[in-house]
Formats: sequence, structure tokens, C-alpha cells
Amino acid sequence: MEEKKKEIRYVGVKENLLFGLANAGQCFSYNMFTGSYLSLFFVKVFGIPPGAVATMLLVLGIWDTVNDPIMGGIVDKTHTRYGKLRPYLLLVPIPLAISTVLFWGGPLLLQNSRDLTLKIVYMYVSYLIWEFFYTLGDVPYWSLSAALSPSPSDRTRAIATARFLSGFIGGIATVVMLPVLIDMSNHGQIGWSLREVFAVCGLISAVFIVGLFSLAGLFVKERVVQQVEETSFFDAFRFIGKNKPLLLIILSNVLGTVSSIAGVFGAFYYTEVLDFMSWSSLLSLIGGLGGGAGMATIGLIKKRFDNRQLAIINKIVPAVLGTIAFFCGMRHYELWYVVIPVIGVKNLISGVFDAYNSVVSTEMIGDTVDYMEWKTGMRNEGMAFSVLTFVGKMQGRLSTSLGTALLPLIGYFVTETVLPDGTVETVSNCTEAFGRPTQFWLWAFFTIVPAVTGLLAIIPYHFYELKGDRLREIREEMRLRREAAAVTPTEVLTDERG
Amino acid sequence: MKEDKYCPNCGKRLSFFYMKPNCPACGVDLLRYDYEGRLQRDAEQAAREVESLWRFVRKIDKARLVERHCLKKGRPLPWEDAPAEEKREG
Repeated sequence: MEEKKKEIRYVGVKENLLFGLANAGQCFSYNMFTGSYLSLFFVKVFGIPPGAVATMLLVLGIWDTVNDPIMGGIVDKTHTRYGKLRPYLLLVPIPLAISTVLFWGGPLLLQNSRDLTLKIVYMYVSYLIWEFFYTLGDVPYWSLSAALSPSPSDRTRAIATARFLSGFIGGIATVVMLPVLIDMSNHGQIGWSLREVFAVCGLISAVFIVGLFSLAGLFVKERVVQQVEETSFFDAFRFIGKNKPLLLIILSNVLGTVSSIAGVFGAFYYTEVLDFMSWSSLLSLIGGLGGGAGMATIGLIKKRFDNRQLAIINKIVPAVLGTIAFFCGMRHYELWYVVIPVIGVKNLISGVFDAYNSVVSTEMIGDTVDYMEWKTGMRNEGMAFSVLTFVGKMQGRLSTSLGTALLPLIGYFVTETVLPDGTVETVSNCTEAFGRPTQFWLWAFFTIVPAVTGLLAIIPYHFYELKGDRLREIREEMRLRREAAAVTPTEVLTDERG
Repeated sequence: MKEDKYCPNCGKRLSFFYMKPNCPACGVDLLRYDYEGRLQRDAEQAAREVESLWRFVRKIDKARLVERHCLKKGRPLPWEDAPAEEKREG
């Protein structure tokens, strides 16, 4: 019988859990900013025209594409006694919490204002500030998944824990809290307007940020020691250009951008067609069950498929499911007892593959960091993981921007009326487009359109080389190099100090 | 963390806000000092935590689901060194 070489585990149970809880705190806030609610918040709650919202999301999405790699470069140049990542994780939680509260509280602060320019300026500034602090924490956090241990199984475990806890705890905001409060507000069951609902949710997510996200900086160690030789700021960008596997991952994510518009149209579909936002809670919980099953089985699946194969499967399965869901609900998209079971089954199966994808995509970035160290001797976690965050955010921003821009084209409009107490109320209207009602297009853009367009993301993986034996050879060589290079730092310093 | 509070070489207390990579007293590289030794200690601590977790699981697993699963798959029990085949033969 073959003896399997057991990898040494460096990250204990407690540290693993704290790393995961930190992501849960971060995601509790971030999930509110993803396409599902952002568009609804700006258009319906803040009363900003869809065109202005789409433009803002596009402009700041471009800024995002620039500042994430910049942040990655800054992180790679950082040398402190805590490492290069932890200082940012220690600094960020408090300002991020404050900017979150100010962002979601915007409509409440400006509720008596009819000045559209003021609202748009506030939207830009508050979003920019929030995004700056979020990037300042997000890039180092995911870079830490590659730096917390030299052992690949430690990293997989940490990433899986982070994804599981962020899906579970972090999903509370968007799965339970927001949809339920929105429905209770819309149906008059609580005395809160939607402005107050979002402001309170912003406050709660700020508490999660300070309480949980700070755990990463406080309790998770950096164990992969960085090279002594310093890289220049621009070297980090050049290395990205030399990292072919990483470039292919970026390309795949860019090609898959349109598939993310499902989130935007989902929120509008539940509120405008089914008139019950809480369906999204139930269906997300079902997806969460699938996600739990995915996390429980990922170890088994990774024995059968490598990361590249899983990445491809993760594109095909949602495409098939979305297409089937569309045709099942094509004539009955207004009947909840038809579409809810269909979406439920779709979410349950998708949840499994989403769980695989959440781990695999992060691991693949770590593989590219190892690849670059093997190829050039330089480790650039900061820059490589900034690409992960930048692509994820760019996808989200572009898809939200695109989705929001499409709303008027499918016949969706928002009008403003002034109430007797002086506050401004926004009212949404669904009409029709291209001979079909707006509600039909909301269904189509929620199901089949993102499903089919997502298949484009498979193309770059045909050229991806970090798989199977090749990856094992690289890792084995890296392990031998690290053992050979280990020296006692005091000996080096004594020589230097004479 | 405790190890962030003091220099591992000379024992000087370090402020939370002290960010420089070298100790202000002895000049040692705080991040790389005794790197292999710290990795070794982390590995031992991780092994202890995993062992502790499995002992807790064994305590609460009254239905012996984990034990039965390991015996069925022929895997060693997580809280013992002896492989499952020996237990079956025994």
C-alpha cells in the first residue's frame, strides 16, 4: 500500500475559525453592496435616476480596477513587524464601519432634499470612501489566505472555513435581515420607511465589521516569510504581466461579467413581480443548504477533479440550470407556486457548485502566487489577490451598472412625489418593451441571459497549465527550495552589524 | 497576540503601534527571527488543538457515527494512532 506523505498543519482550529469569522463580518457588510440591493437602494430608495446610477457604478468600477492593483502593490512593498498584510487588517475595521453607516444612511440624512445634484454627489463621495476602506482591508485579507501557511491544505481549510462562515453569517444581511425588513416596511408592518430600514441595516453591518472583521488582524499570523530582496512598486505590475495563469483567470472572470446581472434583476423580480422580497430569503437559505453540502463534499470532489476542471464545471452547471428554469417559468413567471419551486431546485444545486467555486477560485490565485515564486523567486500575494478582489468587484460593478442601465430599456421607471410632510416618496412603474411586459424581461434577465453568457468564461481555461502533475512538481520544488533557504535571521544581522 | 508584545530575542516590550521590522533595542528582524522554531511550535499547537477537537467530538458522538464511518472506510480513528483494520481484527 502506498504511504501518503502527510502535510504538516500549522494553522490550528481556533485560528482557522477566527479567519473565517473575520470574513463573515466583512461579507455581512459587503453583501449589501453587491448588485442585488445596491441598484434597488439607489433607484427606489434614494430616488436617483437609473442612468445616473449606472454611470456612477461604471465610473467607480473603473476606479476600482485601478486601485485594487495599486493596493496590491502597496501591500507587497509593506514591511512591518506584523508582516505586510496584518497592519491593514488592524487599521481598517473602524473607518470602514463609519463609512458603511454614512453610506446607507444617505437617504435618511437627505430625506427632505429634492436637490438631485446633492444626492448624486453624496452617492459618489460616500461610495468612493467606503470602497477605499473596503479595498484597504479586502486585498490584505485574501492575500493572508496564501500567507498564513506554507501548507496548501491549511490554505484550503482556511478558505473553505471563510467561505462557509461568510455564506452563513455574512448572508444573514441579504438573506434574512434586508428582505424581511423591506417586506415589513412595504406592507406597513413596522413603522419604518425603506430609508430607515437601510440605515439600520448599515448600522448593524458596521457592528459586524468592528466585531468580526478585526479578528483577522488580531489573531491570524503570517507564516510565509517574504523574500528579503525588495521589489519596486512597478515590478509588482510587471510580474502580473508575466503570470500567465493569473492573466487567464482574470480573462475568464471578465468574460463571465454579464452572468452576474442575475443579482440586479433578482431583487427587482422579487419586489416588482412577486411583490414579496422575502422569497429571496427562503431561496437563498435553500442555496445555503446546497452550499453547506458543497463545503462538506469539497474534499471528496477535489480528489476526483483538479481546480481547473472544477472551474469549468462551475460554469457549465449554472448555465444548464438557468436555461431550464427560464423555460419552466416562461409562461408562469407571475405565479409564485410555479417559479418558487423551480428557483428553489436551481438554487439548491447551484449552491453546491457555488461553494466549490468559492474555494477553488481563491485557491487558484494562491497557485499562481506559488507559480510566480517558482518562476521568478518573488512572491506577490498582495498584487495577485488584489486581482481577485478587483475582478470580483469589477464584475459586480459592471454587471450592476449594466443591469441598472437596462432597466429603462425593459420598461421600468421611477417617479417622485412630494408628500404632505415634505418628504419625497419614490414610486416604481412597470410597463412593457419589445412587445412583452417588463415583468417577463425581469424573469429572462434573472434566469437565461446570465446563464448562457456565463459560458464564455470557459474559454481561457483551455490554456491554463497549473493542473495535476505540473502543479505537484512546482510545489515539491518550492518546498525543497524553502528548506534549503531557511537561515537564522540573527546570524545574518550579526554579520551585517559587524 | 502575546508574541507581538515582546521582542523574542531581548524581551523588550513593544508598543502596539510600533511597526518597524527590527527591534529598537537589539535590532533583530522580528518577523524572521527563529522562523523555523516558530513554525515548529505552531505545528505542535495546531496538532494539540486538533487532538482536543477530536476528543470533544468523541465525547459528544454518542451514536459513534465517526467511529463507524472510519471502520467502514478502513481509516484510522482520528483520536487514536491504531488503524481501524487492527480494531476490526481485534
